This record gives sequence, structure tokens and C-alpha cells, in this order.
Amino acid sequence: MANSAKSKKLVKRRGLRVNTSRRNFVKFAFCALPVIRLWAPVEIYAQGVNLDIPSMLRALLDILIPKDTTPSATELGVDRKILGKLERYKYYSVLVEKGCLWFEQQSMHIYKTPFLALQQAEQVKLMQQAEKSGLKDPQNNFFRALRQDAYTYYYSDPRSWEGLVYAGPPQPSGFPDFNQRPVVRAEKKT
Amino acid sequence: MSYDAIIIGSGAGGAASAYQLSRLGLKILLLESGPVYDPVKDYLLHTNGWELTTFPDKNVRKPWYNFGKMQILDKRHETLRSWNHIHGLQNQTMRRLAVRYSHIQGLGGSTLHFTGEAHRLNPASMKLKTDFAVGADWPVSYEELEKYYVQAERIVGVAGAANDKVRTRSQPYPLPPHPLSYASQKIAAACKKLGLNWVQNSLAVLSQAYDGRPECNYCNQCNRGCPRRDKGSVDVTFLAKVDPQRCTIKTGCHVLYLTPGKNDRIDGVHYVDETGKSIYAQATWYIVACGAIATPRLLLNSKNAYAPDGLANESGQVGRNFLESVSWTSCAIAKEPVGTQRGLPADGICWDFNGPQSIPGLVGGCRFSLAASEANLTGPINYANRVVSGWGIQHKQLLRQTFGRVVAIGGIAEQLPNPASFVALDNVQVDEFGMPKATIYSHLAEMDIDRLKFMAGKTRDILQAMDVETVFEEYGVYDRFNAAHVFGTCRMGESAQDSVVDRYCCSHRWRNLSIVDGSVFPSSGGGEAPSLTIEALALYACENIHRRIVQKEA
Repeated sequence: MANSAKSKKLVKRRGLRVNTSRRNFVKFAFCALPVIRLWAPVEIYAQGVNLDIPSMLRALLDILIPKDTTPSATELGVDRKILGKLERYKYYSVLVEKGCLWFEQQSMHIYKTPFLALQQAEQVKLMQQAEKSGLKDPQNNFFRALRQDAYTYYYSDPRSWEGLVYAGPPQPSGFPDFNQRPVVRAEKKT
Repeated sequence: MSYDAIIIGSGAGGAASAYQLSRLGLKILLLESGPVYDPVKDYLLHTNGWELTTFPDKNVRKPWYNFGKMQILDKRHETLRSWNHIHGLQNQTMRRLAVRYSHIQGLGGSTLHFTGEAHRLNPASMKLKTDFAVGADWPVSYEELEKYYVQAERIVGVAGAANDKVRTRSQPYPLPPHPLSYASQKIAAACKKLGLNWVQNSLAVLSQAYDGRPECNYCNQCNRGCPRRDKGSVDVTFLAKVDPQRCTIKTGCHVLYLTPGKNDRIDGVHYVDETGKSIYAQATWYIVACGAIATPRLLLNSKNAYAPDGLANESGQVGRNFLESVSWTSCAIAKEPVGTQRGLPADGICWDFNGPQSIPGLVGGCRFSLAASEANLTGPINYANRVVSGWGIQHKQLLRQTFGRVVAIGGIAEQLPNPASFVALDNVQVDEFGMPKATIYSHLAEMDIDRLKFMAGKTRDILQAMDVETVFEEYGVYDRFNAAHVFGTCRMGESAQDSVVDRYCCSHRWRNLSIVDGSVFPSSGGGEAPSLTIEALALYACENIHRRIVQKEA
């Protein structure tokens, strides 16, 4: 509940007002254009772009970590943790805004469709573009930060460990079998 | 209240000094700037998020050191760049990057996060000037220190094997050696193919219950703090043994300066306690044990008319001769699971190149040991972020196939002193108490870089002999300063002209001042971990201090 209430707050940054809630979109106004122009390759689409950052993050995270025998990223609440970080750190919120805007603009540029309305295969292609972009490009910074945080939060949740030859935190049991050939299948600690 | 001695700093040197002096009946005040760590409450190894932090540093103090300009990198040494197969170069620039001085401020100092290695120094490394015309000699011999090594080994509980022909012993290790982990056994087999000797490391980690502490359960996370207290950090060994009637321990106390006075004597020490109150304390003797960065900083900040160039700096050597750990690590994925996450961080070691002339064409040795834990490659988060590339379903599947297959081998080598490596006071920046920050100037000379090249080549050879699937990450200090073991900035020597303290770690001039930490090391050794030597030196030095206090020589 607390997270939800927090995410509905309007956060004011650099003259942009970005609504981090699911339902309330905020249109970029003309006052934002000078800022966008600095780094947006296809600024024509920035006019009137609706950025639903929580929904975009959810989509991107489940592309990075989809469900298979273990849950997807959003099923383990990775999106909520990233939204929490976004509210704590200004640099991070700027990074995420820039990244999401890039995805939206690329989506409109290539598919003439908002990112959230794309087929997942198309979203995956955009993710691949971001990954392969130059190290100094904002979309690449966003991709690397999101990947890092997604895996960090995801694999700190025991529900992600199913199938790993990993028995959980190092203590209190330690590894009394440390000098033996490791077991191939994961065994949960008791 | 009057004390026989005030000790500043509670790491290996300060804690061993407090133990020795209080055991000998003196009244001690031990000042520590950091907090107390409770192994059970503060170390997080039982939690699901254990991998999210390294050592859970709870010190809230602002940075007290910074770095001078680092050296330009040379294209000739591209093979020494730090890299990861996913993230690329760790330093994207052509200038060496200052990462950090890896230390802990807290009761127990950096032994709180140390790997547990308990090494004696190679005696041949203590005579570099005489034998090789480089660096400086130790004014005290290995033989003189030997009985104090024995004492320190008993107090911290060292487990080791009688496999060392270089460091002669008068007594066996107090505890039997730890068996090699499965991963270490695999490396040992690879080393054997190359004609190298991979042997059990000597560790201040209990292989059996000892002195009221339990045996290790091989969780492989010594660097994150040991919740069981089986690792012999000085808070659970030396400091646990001091008599509270004789030794007052105060934490959260930041020492600003010592006051040099008349007759070549220190008059007192000025510190700010944890409530922010300024306090001036006095004692018969003063022992500085803050490490090779903070000790010269404190001495240089302790200047007045009696010591215009800084305390004990008559030779101009305080802060000079800075030595760091020259280190290299190569990480690979083995073809079969080796259970990387299990065991001890450095249970196996190769000493074959430890002697000062063991590396062909170079002076100064090195050693190799297991390094996956120090590389922080023992949990799923780091596997996901650093080991397994890509994303999506394929990443998840690959992670399941790869987890537990990382092997990492690290090398640590000697550094020889050079004029461009030193510690000085910052003329502009101050810490939260208004005390000038220490500035670390670090420079690797050509021979240091050649030693790095030797280590990089050898770690790659060993991994190749293991027939690993792929090397995915390598890093070293060539392009990133990141030192835990630092030395030399108040070195000991016979002559007051070129050293700061004498063979007993006493100032050449100041009659009631001693220094007992890594800063007094004239040379660093060929990769030996320094804590046991610092402890032995402190035990040795404090016997002399006790004698001089009792005989009123101070």
C-alpha cells in the first residue's frame, strides 16, 4: 500500500512532471522540448508522448526475466523495488525517464505504435537495439542499469533459486561438504 | 584518569598492543574511531539478501582520504587492463583509476573483513637492500620475531600445515590445516601439471573448536564478517582477552592530533569522542596504529613548534615509501561444477614465486591463491550480473547450468618503493572534524608492472591447465588502484636519517612514541598477508615498551 501511494506522487524534475502511477499519464508540454531536444533522436514523437513508466518498466523487466520454471521479474516484485529506487535517487529517475522515452520514441519511429502496444517480439527487438547501442548512449546506460538491478533484486529472492545448484544463504549451515564433488541438483537447506 | 599508554587504532597492531601491555600489567586506553560490530547482529550471511553488500560497513563518517593524479596508462600494457566479458573495460579511460583504499574503521579494524590468511614473512624479503640493492632492510630479523609469531598464532588460532621450508618454525601450528575445497583440489591438480605446488594455506580460521570458539563451517564468506567468530579477527581474539580493569576501550573517538612537547616527549592526545566532546588525554606512552594511510596523516597533522614538519618526521620519511598490494585476478568458468561457493576464500596457495628472486629477471616475489570469494563470485546475483551474458529465458537457463562453476585465481606481489608513491596531507580538503584529508599518490614502476604481467601470465596458464571453458573476467591494479594491504609510510630502520622508527617500532627522536602497524614495514614481502606480522611486531614492540615504562626510560 505504501509503495502504491508513493508511486502515485507526482515527481517534479528538471521542469518535467512525470507521473509514476499506472493510470495517470502526463503529457510532455512544450516547456519540456528544449530538454528533450538535447538527446532525443526523433523528437517529433516526443510531442504528446504518454510515458507510463511503471507499465513500461514492467514490460521491460519481464523481457529481461521472463517466467519459465521460475517466476518472472514482476511476479517477484522486481518492478516495485526499482520504482522504490527511482523515488529515492534523482539520478536514477532521470536515467529511467530517458531510457523509457527512448523506447517509446523508437517504437513510434519504427512501428508507428506505442511501446506498450507492441507485440513482445517487437519489444524484444528494441531491447536488443538498446543493448547494442554505444556505451555512451542513454539507452545503453539505461539497459545496463536495468539489467544490473533486475538481476540483483530477482536473485536475492529465494523463489528465483529453484533449479540452481544453490542451497541458499551461506549461514547458518555453511557447506560441510566443501571438499566433495558438488551435487548436481540443488538441495534446499533445512 | 592517567594511563600508562594510549593506543590509537584497534586493528591488528593496536589490538595486539592492548593485549600485550595489559597482560604485562599496564593501564591502557584504546581509542578507535569506528563503531563496535556485533558478529551475530551485524553480519548478514544468514539472510536472503546476504549478497547485496560486501562487509556491512556501518561507519557513517565522511571520506577522510582522496587520491592524487593517477598515472597515464601505456598501450604496451593492454593485456593488464581490467575487463569483463559483459561489461567491457572496467576503466574506460587511459589514466589509472582510483577506486578505493579497502579498509574498515571499527573495533578490530580491517581484520574484521580480512580473508583470514595468517602468514609469516619470507625472511629473504626482509633483506632487499643488502641482498638486491633495492628497497630497505628490516632492522629486526625473522629469527627475532619468531617467538612472537608463535604467540600471535596461538592467540588467533592458526590452522596450517608443515609445508613451508622457508619460514622455519620453533613450534607447530596450533591447529591442523583445513582440507582443500573441491575447487582448490582442481586447481592443485592443474598446478601439478605445470610443476607448481598448490598447498594448504595457513589461516586464522579454526579447523577445530578452539579457545571457546567453534570450528569453521566453510561458508566461504570471511570477507563479509564471520558471524560464528571462528575467523581470528582481533575483536574476538586479542581484544576478547584484554582485562577490562586494565584496558579501557573507547569507540567512536576520532583523534585529531598528538601534542609534541618538551624534552622530545609527547604531551598528550586530542580527540573528539562519540558525543562530539573534545577531550585531551595523557599517558606515559603513545602508540599509533592506524594503518599506512591514517598513521602518517595523524603524524603530519601533529605539528607544532617542537615538531614543525610533523611528528616523528625528522627524516622527512613520514608518508614516503608508500607500498600497496600489486594484485591480479583471472576468473573462468570450469567445464564441470566445482562448488565455488563452498570452502574458505583462500584455502590453497602457491608459494613457488614468493622469494625476492623467484620471478625470472625481477626482484620481488609473489604468490597465487584461490580468489573466487574475494572476487565476490559465490552467489547467484554476481553470477547473473557478471558471469552469464545476455538476458531472457536463455540467461535463466544458462545461469542454472553455470552456477558453481566459476574458478578464480589471484596473485599478489611485492611492490618496491618509488618517489612517486607517497601519502601527504591535502592542503585544501578537510574531513568532518576539520582535519586535512590524506592524499594517496600511487605510482606503479616498470618492475611492478612486469610483476603484474608475470602474475597475469601464470594465472592464465593455471586456468588453461585446468582446461576451463572460458575466461570471463580479469582485473588488477594496473588500471585501477584498489588496495587493502598498504605499507611503508613510517618505515622502521637502523638509521634516523632514512627511517621513522627504530627496530623496536619506537620513534628515533620521540621518547614515548611508537608506531605498530603496516606503515613500519620497510618492504611488503612477496604477497604475504600482513596481519600476523603486524601482530607479532606489536607483541615484540610492546615487550620493549613495557620494559621502558617500568624502568622509567620514557
